[in-house]
Amino acid sequence: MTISTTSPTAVSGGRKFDFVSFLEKYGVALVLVLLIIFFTSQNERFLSVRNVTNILTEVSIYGIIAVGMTFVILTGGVDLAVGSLLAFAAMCAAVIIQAMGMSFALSWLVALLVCCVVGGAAGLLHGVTITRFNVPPFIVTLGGLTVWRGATLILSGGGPISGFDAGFRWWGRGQVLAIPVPVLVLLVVAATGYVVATYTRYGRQVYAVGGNREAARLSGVNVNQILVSVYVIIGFLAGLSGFLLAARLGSAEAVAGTSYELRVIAAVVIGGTSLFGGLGGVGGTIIGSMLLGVLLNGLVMIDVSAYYQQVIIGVIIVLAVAFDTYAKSRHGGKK
Amino acid sequence: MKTLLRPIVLAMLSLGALATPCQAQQEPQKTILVSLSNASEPFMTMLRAEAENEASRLNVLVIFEDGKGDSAQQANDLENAISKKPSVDGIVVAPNDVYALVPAIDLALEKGVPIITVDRRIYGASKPVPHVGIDNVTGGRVLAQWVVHNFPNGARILHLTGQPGSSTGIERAEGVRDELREAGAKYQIVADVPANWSRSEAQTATERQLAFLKQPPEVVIADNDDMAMGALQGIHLGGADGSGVKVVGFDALPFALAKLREGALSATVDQQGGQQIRLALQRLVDKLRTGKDMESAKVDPILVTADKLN
Amino acid sequence: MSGVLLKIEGIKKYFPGVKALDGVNLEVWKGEVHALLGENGAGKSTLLKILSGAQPADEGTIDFDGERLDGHDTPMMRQKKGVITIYQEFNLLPALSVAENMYLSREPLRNGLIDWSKMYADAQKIIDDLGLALSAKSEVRVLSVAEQQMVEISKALTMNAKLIVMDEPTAALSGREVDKLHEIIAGLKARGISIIYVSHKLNEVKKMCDRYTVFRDGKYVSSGEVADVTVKDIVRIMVGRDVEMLKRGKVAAATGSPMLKVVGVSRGAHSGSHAMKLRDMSVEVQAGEIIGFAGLVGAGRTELARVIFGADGSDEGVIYLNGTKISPIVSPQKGLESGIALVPEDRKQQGCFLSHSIRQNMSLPNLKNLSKWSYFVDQKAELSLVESYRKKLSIKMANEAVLIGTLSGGNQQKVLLARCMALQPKVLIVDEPTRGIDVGAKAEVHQVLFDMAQAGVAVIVISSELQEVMAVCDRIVTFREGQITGVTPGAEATEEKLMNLMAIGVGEREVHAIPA
Repeated sequence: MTISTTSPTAVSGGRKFDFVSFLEKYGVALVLVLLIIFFTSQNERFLSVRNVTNILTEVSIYGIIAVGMTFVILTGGVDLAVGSLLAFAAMCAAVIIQAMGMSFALSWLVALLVCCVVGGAAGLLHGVTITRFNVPPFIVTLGGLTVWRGATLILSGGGPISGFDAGFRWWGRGQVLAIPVPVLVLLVVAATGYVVATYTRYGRQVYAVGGNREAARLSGVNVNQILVSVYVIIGFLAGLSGFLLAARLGSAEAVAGTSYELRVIAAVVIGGTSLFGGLGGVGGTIIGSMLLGVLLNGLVMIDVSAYYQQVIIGVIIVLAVAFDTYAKSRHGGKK
Repeated sequence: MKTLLRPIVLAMLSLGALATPCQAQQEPQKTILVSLSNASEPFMTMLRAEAENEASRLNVLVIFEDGKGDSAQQANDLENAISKKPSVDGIVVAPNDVYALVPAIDLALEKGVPIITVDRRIYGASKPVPHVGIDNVTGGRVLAQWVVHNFPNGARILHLTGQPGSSTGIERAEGVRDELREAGAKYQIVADVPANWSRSEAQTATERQLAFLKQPPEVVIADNDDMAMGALQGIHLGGADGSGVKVVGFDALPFALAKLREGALSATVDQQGGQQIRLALQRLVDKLRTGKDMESAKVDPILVTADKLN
Repeated sequence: MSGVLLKIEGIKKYFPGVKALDGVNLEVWKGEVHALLGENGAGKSTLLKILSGAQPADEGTIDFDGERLDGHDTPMMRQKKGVITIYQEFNLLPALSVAENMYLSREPLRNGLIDWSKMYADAQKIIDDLGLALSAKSEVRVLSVAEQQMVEISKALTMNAKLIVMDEPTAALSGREVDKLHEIIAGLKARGISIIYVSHKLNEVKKMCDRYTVFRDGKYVSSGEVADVTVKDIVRIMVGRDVEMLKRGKVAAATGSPMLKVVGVSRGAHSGSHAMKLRDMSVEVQAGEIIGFAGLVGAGRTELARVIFGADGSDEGVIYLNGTKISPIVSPQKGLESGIALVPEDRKQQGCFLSHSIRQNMSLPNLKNLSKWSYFVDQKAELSLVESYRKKLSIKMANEAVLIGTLSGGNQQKVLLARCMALQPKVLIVDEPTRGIDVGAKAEVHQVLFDMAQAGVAVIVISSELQEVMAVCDRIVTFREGQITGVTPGAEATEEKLMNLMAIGVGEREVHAIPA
């Protein structure tokens, strides 16, 4: 009987420690831990309850969107419009609330519904444009980035809208069992995202579409439906984030969410999801988001100027992807 | 927005032209561009409102452009207004950045379009540009003096500064720092953080700094009112260990005055923005109508506290 | 006997956890066609990659034309020395034209700028010499798999090769193209160029090659003169045991209404474009029958299969399944739901999710039946599915989590077959089921098809290998230029008869019998 010589995972025990494989699996978590240790060494307040709460709250705003972005990138697409969509959804909600009198019972509910519906609808628009007219996602959402931002500026009439009532603001500032509400929302979204991606049929189909679109089609997957769905999901989540951000700041600003798309994509990519589609997952995205959050907070703490922050984030993204690509290429020997 | 603006302006100009035969004695109405660095800032919103009133009082037509906080955008606004035919008659500008708008302003000077800056200055144009505003260094010092006066035994201070490239940001911060330094080592700025004049950025920065510092500062000096509001929210969210921190702002805008009355805000500075823009417009119109050269004007910053309000 | 051109000694190559090559040798003489043989996984592709410079060896030496080659050479450097490799997976740029691909980085220049007319003219001459109906200006992405293969070969002919390595060159060719290729190889040989010919098609090897070398499990086994061995001998050396191509026994002609009935499928008949036109195609398949679709590349076999499956549409035509009209079949989803399954022609690009596990690959179309609480995947059911097909089809894999991209071609094909079998289809279409698969696995795949037919499935086998079609099928449907030209019962089929029905020609020329 011939021995299979083609499966690289048939490793015999006792081989020397494969450093690259270890890094590939745990690298990001390792860097996260190292960063935490480093920053704490600079200022022990880094790990104080207050600061950790700050970090988690900040992370939750873009982390929620990052869960959605994971699905989009898994299909081999991308959504550059999320920052603008966040602002637009929040502004729509603020305008409507204002017209209804600003402070009334359940204003938060109206705001939440408006945000999610606006976000989801915009996502649907993106998805349909991509599938029906065959325009690459990069282009469609790049257009979305400017269109929704412009729409937000028009709606806002030049200034922010503020004055939300306490019930609304609770969603950004309240706590349940000492955990900030936005963090709880992130937990729910992340858990749901993880379960859907890993354990449902829909999740498999998302991976399939990204892994090999033609093969997915020939296996009976309704590719267009899957593609549209992921953009709706991320639109919805961008709206949800917009709601939480407006609640936290107490106002809907025209400039909210600027450059968030880069942060979100960075979180997903650092977390190990491949930009080519088909590989990665929600778990990695959460760790990537945490890493980004720790990094941003830490850099401010040690007084690094905002401009250096941009450089550092950019370098980290490139390093993370380069390493990931290298590690995967070692599984070579494909026949 | 720009594409709408052009037909509107043309329509207005032609209406103005139509009106001319009926007012054969009077000259055509002058058009003045008011270019704001960022129209969504509350201070700028107030300037705009004051400018509109003054313009109708002076019987000139005024158009507004919003740089949205982007120097390139504002430079574009200026260049378009100067180059189009017919160009605007005069320009009042609050420049976003001390250096970046110089080429556009030089263009105005070259084309002979009278131009005057308000609130913020530029550094290094080809010819001196008249400016109406306060001395922001003095303004900063006024705020710091309040701290020294009210905390004779010293204080730890969180300093929130404005947009890094603006003259107002640079000079006000300089004033605060100089005054505190001269007051002695017992006045310590424990964190000096730029928050871009923005309420939300100030809130985030305050939350973070409160977490980083072992103990909260005694005072937060916010170089404008919007940031002061953000600081207040940041402190409030911090809970018990945040209260007792005093906050001061700058601009004396209505919402700040309200907080002053409540006691949440401890002081602010009135730079008489309305006065600034009215003066600027008057001098510009004088130049257009009588050829009188524009002179810079200094407006005094006035400290405002709760007792002064009544 | 001329001098030694290439001498490879003691080459070893390791990948994480795998010894791909464990000390292999190869000697190729000047002006000879040398066959490199071995089952999939024997190490042939790895050695070729090392030879071409795409990967470095871990140990061993390579001497070429009297010179020891540097192990750190890049592919470009090896090419300059005269070692040209044509891989089984093409290295073409789809968006560029044929000529641009052929002359990539070596475009003819005039005054420092690309001389486009010379480039197109030179390219067209080479293409015409090969007897291909291709334009040097066509974009590669609109060409079929076989036509792209031809572009690769044309490309090699533009370089000054001393040694051309061809890895499964006729995998996507049939009949006339194969003969043409062999003519060309003979011509190259006459010019003193050596060829390393890697192929599973042992009949071709017998016809074409002077000497051979056999690898097994990453080791060198033996080499010798082709004239001294029979095909059977070669198989025994390669596999280590005797293997026969399975023959379809006599099966009683099925009667009654057919399982699959295709009537009058047409497409593009009235458009002026050069896209594949399908003309009035009709075919019937009984349950339990194995039908072959034979024809030259581009004759319309895969195209019809895709219409039946729902991957492509047609302008006209009706399709009945078990008596019920199911057309129009608007999508593969609908095809699968109706009970039709397709194993695609190009397993890498159309079939496998290379970076996903075997488990995910096998279960994807079947998720509906493997579900728990309607939305979740029943992992237990999935695992038992994989396990049962692993046994049934003897798929060589370490475990279900292994990435399918790491399996040999034969095992990948088995996974794809298992995927379709798990759907329990009524009609199974397999397109080139044994392309690029070694003899041992080939027989196993054929057995699977026999078993499926036994179970009552209507099986359609599309293949460019006439031997395979004749051995495996009950009836053979021949295609030519988008039309069905005949249906020949398996017992009466001969290569000559089939070629006559398949051949493209100006006028109706008889094709002479192919010497055995």
